[in-house]
Amino acid sequence: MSMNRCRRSPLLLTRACAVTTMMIAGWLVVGGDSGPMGEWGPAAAMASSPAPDDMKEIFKPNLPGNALEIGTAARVAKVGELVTVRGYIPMEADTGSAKSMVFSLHEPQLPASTIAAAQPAGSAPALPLVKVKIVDANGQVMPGRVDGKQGLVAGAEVFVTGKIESNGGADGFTIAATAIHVPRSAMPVGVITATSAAGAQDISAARKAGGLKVGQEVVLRGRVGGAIDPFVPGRAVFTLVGRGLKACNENPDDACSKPWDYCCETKADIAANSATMQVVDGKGKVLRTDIKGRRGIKELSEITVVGKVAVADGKSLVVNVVSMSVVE
Amino acid sequence: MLPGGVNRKLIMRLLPFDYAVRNLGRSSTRLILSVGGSALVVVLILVAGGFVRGMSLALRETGGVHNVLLLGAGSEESVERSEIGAGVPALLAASLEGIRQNAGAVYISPEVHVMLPVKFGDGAGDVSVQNRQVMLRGVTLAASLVHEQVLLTRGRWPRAGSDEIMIGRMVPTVLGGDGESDFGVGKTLTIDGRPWTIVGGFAAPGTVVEAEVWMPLPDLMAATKRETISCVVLTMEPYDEATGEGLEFGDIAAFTKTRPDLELAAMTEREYYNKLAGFFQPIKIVAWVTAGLIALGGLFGGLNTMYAAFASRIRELGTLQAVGYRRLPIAISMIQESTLATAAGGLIACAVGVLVLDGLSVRFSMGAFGLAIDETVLAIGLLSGLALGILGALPPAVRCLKPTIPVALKAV
Repeated sequence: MSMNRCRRSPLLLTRACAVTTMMIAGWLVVGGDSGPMGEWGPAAAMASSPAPDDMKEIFKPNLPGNALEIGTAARVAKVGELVTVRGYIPMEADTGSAKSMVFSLHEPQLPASTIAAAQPAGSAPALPLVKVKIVDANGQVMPGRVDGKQGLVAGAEVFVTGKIESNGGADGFTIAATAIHVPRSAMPVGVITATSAAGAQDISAARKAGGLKVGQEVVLRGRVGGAIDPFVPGRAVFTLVGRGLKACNENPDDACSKPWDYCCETKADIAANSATMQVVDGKGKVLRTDIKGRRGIKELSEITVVGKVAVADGKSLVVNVVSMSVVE
Repeated sequence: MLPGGVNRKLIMRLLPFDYAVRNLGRSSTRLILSVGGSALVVVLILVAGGFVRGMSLALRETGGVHNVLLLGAGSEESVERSEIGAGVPALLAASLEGIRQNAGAVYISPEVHVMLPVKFGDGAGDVSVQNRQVMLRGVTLAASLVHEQVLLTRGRWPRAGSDEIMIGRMVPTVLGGDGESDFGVGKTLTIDGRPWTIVGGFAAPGTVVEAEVWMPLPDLMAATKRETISCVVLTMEPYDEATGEGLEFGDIAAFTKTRPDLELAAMTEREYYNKLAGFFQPIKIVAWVTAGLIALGGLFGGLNTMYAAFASRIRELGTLQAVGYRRLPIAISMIQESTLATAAGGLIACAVGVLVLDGLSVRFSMGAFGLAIDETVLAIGLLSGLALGILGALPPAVRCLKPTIPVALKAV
């Protein structure tokens, strides 16, 4: 009897260890999102996986680059091609979006409210109209209705990436959206144009000449740069540098990965040859939308800006943009 | 064929679990060595994991969620190299709407960050006490608003012009010496050859701020002969989309662009410390590689031990096969036996980790942090113990089960 008892004790102890290990492992793994594995747990992983065909998955926080204007896309895009287009939701009362996951976009040459006021009620706008379908992974229109969700309201600026389903040219086209971006602030119509204003003065020359006053109308030209990040994500503000300074890639044998930061120049020279451009609303606040990516704007893009001087104290120059364009 | 039409050959008869457990008791010395060896390996893995995790957490958790750091453009990688005008805090308060306020106090903290040689004592004592580089931060009272993680634990806030300082909880770890007797309130630290009196202590759990020495901003500026400050830390009021009140990081970044004369760069405080964490990636890799190599050594030792244990039982294994057990169930039983021993060692190691190692202070270039033996590290330790058992038994089991039954039965 005592021999059996001696043999049982280590047996029981070892069984206890084995059971404890399994319990701890189970607690660690199965605890889920609130358990010790936290976001590593399988329950949390399953919970964090987005539900398939969720409308919210389609909406992206970042502005897509190289978006085409609707008129351009209508001329050049082919059926089946993946494109990104930019447009505005018309001001008409019923675009169909209240009833389904389909809405319209157009590219007004005038402010949207002016177009809506100029047209008879119920008539289609004269410009190409894009029909945007919000589709699921199988290409089927999602159930539900847009109804102003995710910022898709009348007058909103929208960027849509998707496949062209049909293209009627000047009459418009249909696009099956796979990604949508709605800026928090719509860029006013006519701010970013295709054609550059004439008589632009280089920023370096303008700063050197001096004499700029607050409120003065100016037409300036420069290249996007002057810092590692000359844009501000989510804000319509950026810096331009005049031709008085050389970008790093204009120096022979320079292998800078970010030549637009002008790191080869002194900070004082950069400040004296640069200007800050901002697009503001009626209250003077900077718009909450990106500039980078619009009409191909990126670092070292040459930009012509028409605007009004907001700050000119000799140390810095800030211009409120009225219109701007990329110099081709 | 069994009742129900089940083919007898398809059923794998496993050896009883008790068989594996009893075999462990054949040699108590071997059992102790196996358990002890795996415990040592798992402790090492826990130390490596706790080191990596502690360093990551300390750098990741440092910084307020709504805090923005404004420092000199071009110095984004090191606030100690940054210089901005002393008038910048007032400009920010006047220019930005949405900075947090409380009873009229604005959450804007102008600061100077500098690394200086420090040693405990007044410099006239034990010559063997060495200078060590410690992060000093010159602050105003606004720092107590902005840095919510910092809690005054003893004494009081230092007064300007009185050569007073307060120290973080981890400063004794950085400098060595005995906690209360060398770093208590009233004791002295020698900073850059000059004695300063400790009037208070603070804690900032889980952050690298705990390894800093704080003093009044004017005192540090005078001591380092500077007229500029290193940075400004401010706390944003969260932006409310509905009312339009509050502040977002984009607004601060836009402000820096409209004032290029100030030469400011803006980043969130957490982003700054996360970037610093990237510099320590090679150290983390070295820690894991070292632990892995030693674990490999432990594994080979375990292989040797298990082979010796199984080799003496070849005849027994042959007998089991003769009785009707297939090789696979016997191998599973051998793995169970090995895994039980290593799992027990792993459990002991986890107990040591939680009771002894967790929170142990470790000094590094930025200050100090505590080993973090948390759930993640414990899971890695336990799984390592199990893996040692499985991998340590497989090759010996395969080797010992290779001989045919007649050969095995004749084995010595």
